[in-house]
Amino acid sequence: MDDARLAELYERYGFLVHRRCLQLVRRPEDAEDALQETFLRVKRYGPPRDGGATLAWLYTVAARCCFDLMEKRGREPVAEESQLAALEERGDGSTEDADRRALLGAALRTLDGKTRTIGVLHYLDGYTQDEVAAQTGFSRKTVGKKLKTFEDRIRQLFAGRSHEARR
Amino acid sequence: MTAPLPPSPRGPECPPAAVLEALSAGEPTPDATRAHVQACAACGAQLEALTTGRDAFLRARPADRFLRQLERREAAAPSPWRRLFPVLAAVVPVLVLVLVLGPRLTGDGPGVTWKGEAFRVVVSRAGAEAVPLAQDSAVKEGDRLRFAYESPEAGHLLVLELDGRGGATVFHPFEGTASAPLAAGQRDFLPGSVELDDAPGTEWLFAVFSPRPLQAAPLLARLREQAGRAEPTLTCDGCRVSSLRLRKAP
Repeated sequence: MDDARLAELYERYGFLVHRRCLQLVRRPEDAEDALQETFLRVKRYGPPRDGGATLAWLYTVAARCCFDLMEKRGREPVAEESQLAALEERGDGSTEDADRRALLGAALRTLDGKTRTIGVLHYLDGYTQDEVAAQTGFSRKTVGKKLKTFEDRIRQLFAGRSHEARR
Repeated sequence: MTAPLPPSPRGPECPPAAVLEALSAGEPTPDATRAHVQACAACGAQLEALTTGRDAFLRARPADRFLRQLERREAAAPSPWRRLFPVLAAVVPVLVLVLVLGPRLTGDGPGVTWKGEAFRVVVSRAGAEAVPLAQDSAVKEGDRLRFAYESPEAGHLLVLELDGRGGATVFHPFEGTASAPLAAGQRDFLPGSVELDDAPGTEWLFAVFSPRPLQAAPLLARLREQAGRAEPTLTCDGCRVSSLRLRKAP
């Protein structure tokens, strides 16, 4: 992909991709890293699918980059207090949930592809369980079960973090 | 117990966060969604926040600067060869040692001896299909042998025989005095065939491949000197030698 097209994509979607990366990896330096890696992959592997939703496609690439980064770093993302305070309510839920929401990326990383897709659609893209079922083709029951798995994982991570903090 | 994590807050008629985000990027959105966002204070505020956020983001990180960062990142990324370097560094010396020292340790003279699959021999018998011969295959008087030799580079080939009576003969080119040219990657069987005589016992075949033409006489003499030995060998500088032992049944 040539630089002019890449610059156009960046101006239109760079902010949103960066925001999504921040939601997943939490550390600003990691989000910056994931943003660059996302656009490098777009540059290497060509433009988004014709006729498809470009943002959804970029979000998929960005999530992959974030999970790869987490694997590479070998650690769970840790949110700084200042970041938690700055979370947008609409995109990230209420501030009371901020500390648990900060573990979204870590939880997603440890789950299978199906649960991960459902988790992203529900918690980050903001779709209801019925909408997730309609979008993915999974039954409402499957979506509910996968979200329960997702919740349990977040609870485990949260409990582990609280325990770490007390030691 | 920790309460379940609630999804992002959203009114009953409001679109999901991802739809508002796509709308802020100028992606096509249903008219009904656009109408709702215009009328809904919460959605309008979120759209406004996204637009303001994007403008601030681009002011802080303009596209040309971002592209330069990508170029630097691309240039700094190690190439696959660079990643393979530690592996190559470990493997290449071992490979060189095996190729250079291996034959010297196992052979009993100068030159390079390979006992590879490059040399193939088949036997034809009346009324039967040709059969590939392996080490210690049984053959008998009257069997007709054909040869194939595959080499990645062009060169010259001699096929020599040492029979149970101690006689040495050039089998390819049959009764020739020097090697015959061989094309690179030649997989077909060489023209002609050789009929085995009534010499009893073990038959040795040697395929000698060389990048330069070879005279047969010195090699035949060396084979005759080794008549009766359990494992006759043949070497010559810069040659590749393959051998095959056959058992001639009466």
